[in-house]
Amino acid sequence: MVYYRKDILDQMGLKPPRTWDEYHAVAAATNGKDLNGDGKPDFGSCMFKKRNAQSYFALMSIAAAYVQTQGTGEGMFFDPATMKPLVNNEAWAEAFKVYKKNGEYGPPDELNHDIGDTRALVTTGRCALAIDWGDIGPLSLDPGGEPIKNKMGAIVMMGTKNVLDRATGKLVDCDATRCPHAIDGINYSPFAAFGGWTGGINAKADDKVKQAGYDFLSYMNQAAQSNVDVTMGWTGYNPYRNSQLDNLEPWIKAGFTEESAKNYLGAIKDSLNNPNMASDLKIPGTAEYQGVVLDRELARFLAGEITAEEAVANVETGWEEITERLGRDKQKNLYKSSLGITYYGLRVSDLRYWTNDNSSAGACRPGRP
Amino acid sequence: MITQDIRMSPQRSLLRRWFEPKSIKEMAPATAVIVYGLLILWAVFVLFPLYWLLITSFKLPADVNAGPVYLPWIDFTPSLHAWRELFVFDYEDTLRAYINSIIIALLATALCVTIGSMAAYALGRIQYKPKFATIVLFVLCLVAMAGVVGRWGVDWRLSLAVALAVFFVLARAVGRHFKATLGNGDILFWMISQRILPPIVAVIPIYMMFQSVRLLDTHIAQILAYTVVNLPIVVWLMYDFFVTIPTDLDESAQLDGATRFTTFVEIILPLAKPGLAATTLLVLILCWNEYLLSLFLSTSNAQTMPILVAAMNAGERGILWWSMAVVIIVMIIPVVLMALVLQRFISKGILLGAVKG
Amino acid sequence: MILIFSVFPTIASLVLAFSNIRLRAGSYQVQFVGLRNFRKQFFGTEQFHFLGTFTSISLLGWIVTIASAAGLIWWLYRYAKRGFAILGFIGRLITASVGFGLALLFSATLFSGNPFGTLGVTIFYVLVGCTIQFLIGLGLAVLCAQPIKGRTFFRVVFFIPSMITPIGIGYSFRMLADTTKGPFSPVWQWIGLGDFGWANHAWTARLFIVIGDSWQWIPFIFVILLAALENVSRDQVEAGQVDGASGWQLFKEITWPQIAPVAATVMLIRVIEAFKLVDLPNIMTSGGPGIATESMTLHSFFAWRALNLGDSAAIAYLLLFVTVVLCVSFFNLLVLKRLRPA
Repeated sequence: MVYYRKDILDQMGLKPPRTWDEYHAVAAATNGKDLNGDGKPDFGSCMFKKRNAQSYFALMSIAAAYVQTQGTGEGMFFDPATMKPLVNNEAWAEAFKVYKKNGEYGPPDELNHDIGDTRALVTTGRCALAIDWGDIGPLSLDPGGEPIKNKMGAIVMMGTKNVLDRATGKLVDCDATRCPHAIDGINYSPFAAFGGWTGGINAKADDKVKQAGYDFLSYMNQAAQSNVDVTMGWTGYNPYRNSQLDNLEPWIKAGFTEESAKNYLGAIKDSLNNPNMASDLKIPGTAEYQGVVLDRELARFLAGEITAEEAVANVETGWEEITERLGRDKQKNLYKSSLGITYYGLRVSDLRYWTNDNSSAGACRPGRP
Repeated sequence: MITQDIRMSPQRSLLRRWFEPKSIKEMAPATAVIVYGLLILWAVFVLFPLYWLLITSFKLPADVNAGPVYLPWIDFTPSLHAWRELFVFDYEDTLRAYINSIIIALLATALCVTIGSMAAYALGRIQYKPKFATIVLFVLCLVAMAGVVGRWGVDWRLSLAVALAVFFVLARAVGRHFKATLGNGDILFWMISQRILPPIVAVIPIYMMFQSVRLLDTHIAQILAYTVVNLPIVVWLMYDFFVTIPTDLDESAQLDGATRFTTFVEIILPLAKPGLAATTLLVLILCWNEYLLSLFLSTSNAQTMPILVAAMNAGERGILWWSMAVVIIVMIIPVVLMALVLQRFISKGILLGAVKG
Repeated sequence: MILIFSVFPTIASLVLAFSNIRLRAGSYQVQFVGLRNFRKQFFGTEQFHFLGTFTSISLLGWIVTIASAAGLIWWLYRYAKRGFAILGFIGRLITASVGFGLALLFSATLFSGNPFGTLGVTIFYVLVGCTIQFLIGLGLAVLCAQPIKGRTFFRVVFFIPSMITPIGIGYSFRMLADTTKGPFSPVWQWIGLGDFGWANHAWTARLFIVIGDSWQWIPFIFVILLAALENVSRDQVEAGQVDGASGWQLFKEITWPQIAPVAATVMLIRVIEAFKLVDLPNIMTSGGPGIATESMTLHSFFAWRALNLGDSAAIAYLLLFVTVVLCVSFFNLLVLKRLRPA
């Protein structure tokens, strides 16, 4: 989701951005202004860009709207028929460029910021715009979040007016058939980065241990426990149950005004309910596809070693190599089933290992390394 | 320190006072200024990061995140929140890791220094001539055994016995034909080469080894692993210190009827004290700070302090600088104490000169 | 016991280096792939990552390459002429070919303005880092061996950095080097570098990592050399002083020959550890910007973390090879010759 400083934007008469062009305009207008009243210039846009951290989640969140138009089942990483990567095209290259351009309105050492550094800046009121998971909301209620308490607005991730034409690999303008889910001609595709938290219990553990593990997971997820936990930023929990999304009371008790609570939960619900929500990669080798290859090429691009076009071409080569090594057919079938395309030859056990719990897609989390 | 033209100059007496030492045991005042200046400069370079850690441990998150503040009570109000969190709320975890670290580091260091210095002494005094071919053969037998176990699932005890038998039979035959031998230098080098391989690749096999003997998450596993990993350093450093001790001393002791072991303990070790102290300190520190092995070999019961440091990077909250600073500071204290104790022995090296002369 | 400990992991990882391993529920599956993992590093998709980017070699690059090739050939020729032992010659041949390979590598990257791969970065850390650390460490040891007041204080203080766990140092330096909220950010602004992020530029990022590494390791060199200096016979030094030798002469003629063996050992250990540098780049920059600060161990670690154990072990073995060849060459050919003129 994109977060913006409501107080600043209102004061300057700016509207919350909907596309990346608008985002850049707002960032440019606010960059260098003093946003938290300490007399020092602050930043228009804060994004985590450190290598080997969370940067590629941000990139994929940007790319999703350019790549996916036909609904969640379309997918944004591979061609489900051939398992050829869908990455060496203008859409992904554009996402690379947009991500880099944000840096013009950000802190000078943004390239070395991971999500912790970015959140430290956001919660001390130094950023006008930022992208993050659902954490900024509850973090603003935590001790230390005072500078931005009830000052942040949240909206669905930026959309785009031109999208990928899968046949040619070019960016083309949206129309009714190409972007059936577009709103005001803008195609949105909120990306469920990281998929969500999943609990696991070792099948080989003692029965007693299994039961204890199960009881613990159950306890943590009961409404009585989790509905309070999600309102505290330091838990890392984001709202994921209907009762947490619909019931404003715990949020107001935690410190939100009604308006802020509605805005925050509304943005999460908009993301989750979007029929074109993009799903994260959920097949074996994801850590390598994303965390090694994509992450590395992104870092090289951001550092100016290679161009966006070279980067996407390198990603394609790297992904093909991983697919070959892990077995193309197997990967293809798993990718299809992760998108909900039925394939009968697949064993259920394979699915159980690799599919993430999609029910908590709004509560997408960055992982501990 | 005095040069020709200074001697010639009219201000000779003044310059002389500044540039010439009063006696051999003291420095000339000008030298002293430079020496102390450099020492203090370096001390500042060393101490500033530590000072920063110390004040960070008393800062509230907001003080850390907003921008730099330097002086407690002047530009920020110190808070004990991080200390309280670690020593009141989580004291069980902190204390357990602390005690584990102390036990493991001390025992591993003791083992390592004992075995290592004996090995170094032996290498320094006795010429070993292992046959190159024998070693190759031994390794080949082991590989074959591992292959057989892995490939066909033969019971490992059986294959070990067979492999050893084959080795001994072949060793005699091979020994007659291939005469190339290795010297002490090669053994030393082989030892150090054990440290070259990045631990990352060795750590999975080590994990599997301890898993098969069910020693994961125990002190023993980490003590053994640390000992082996640090042994090469002890052997190398102690070897160099022993080599500087003249062999006459050994010989005269042996003439007096001392065994090799008593010579080592009673004559050589005391002489090598500075080296021994320095080496002990280094190994202690290496064991104290070992991260990767501990990460793999422990889950909760035998967890050590470095793991706790790394745990302070709590993904979603960012890095808990304040808590991390507390852990780091707490970790330094015992080692500083040890250093204070051991450095006395390092200074006593001056005595050695007298003995040698 | 030690043999098992050292041999088993070595062999097991050697097996990994040649295979494609896949972890499955409760077991793992090893598939032998020959040299594929290595080929990938040298010629395949990982080439830019391991060796660096090659486009064209500049004139300067060619000059350096040819000069080093000529130098190495002359060196081999001289050895062959003076006395020929087959083992010695093979050893020198290996050294020479690795030396030539590195010269070519540096010509194609550094001298032609192309980015380094992890091999180049690692060698940079080793050469620059170890040189700085040795010089400062030795300097401090000499200073502390002077008849000064407060010896204990200085010794202990100087030794403290090495007591901090390397991860801790990584985080401390990340905190210190932060230009928006670190302690030096006002200084940074004041000298007009407010918009300059050290982490955005390859060379400044590498420099910061070398500084952190030096802060941590100078104490190690310092302590060992200090112990060695304390072992130096006082009588000889005093005799030298009485004879009116200058400080530099005393050091060169009396002190240095006595501490040289220890210095060589300490540098060998330091060089080996420097080749394995991983914590600092991992924490301070995660190998960024791009791949500019990624050491080989970090490269191996990234592959390992994504469970690509084959690539990880292959990189580690390449590192082992480079380290062994460089260390053996350096110590056999330069240090030992000086120390034991036989």
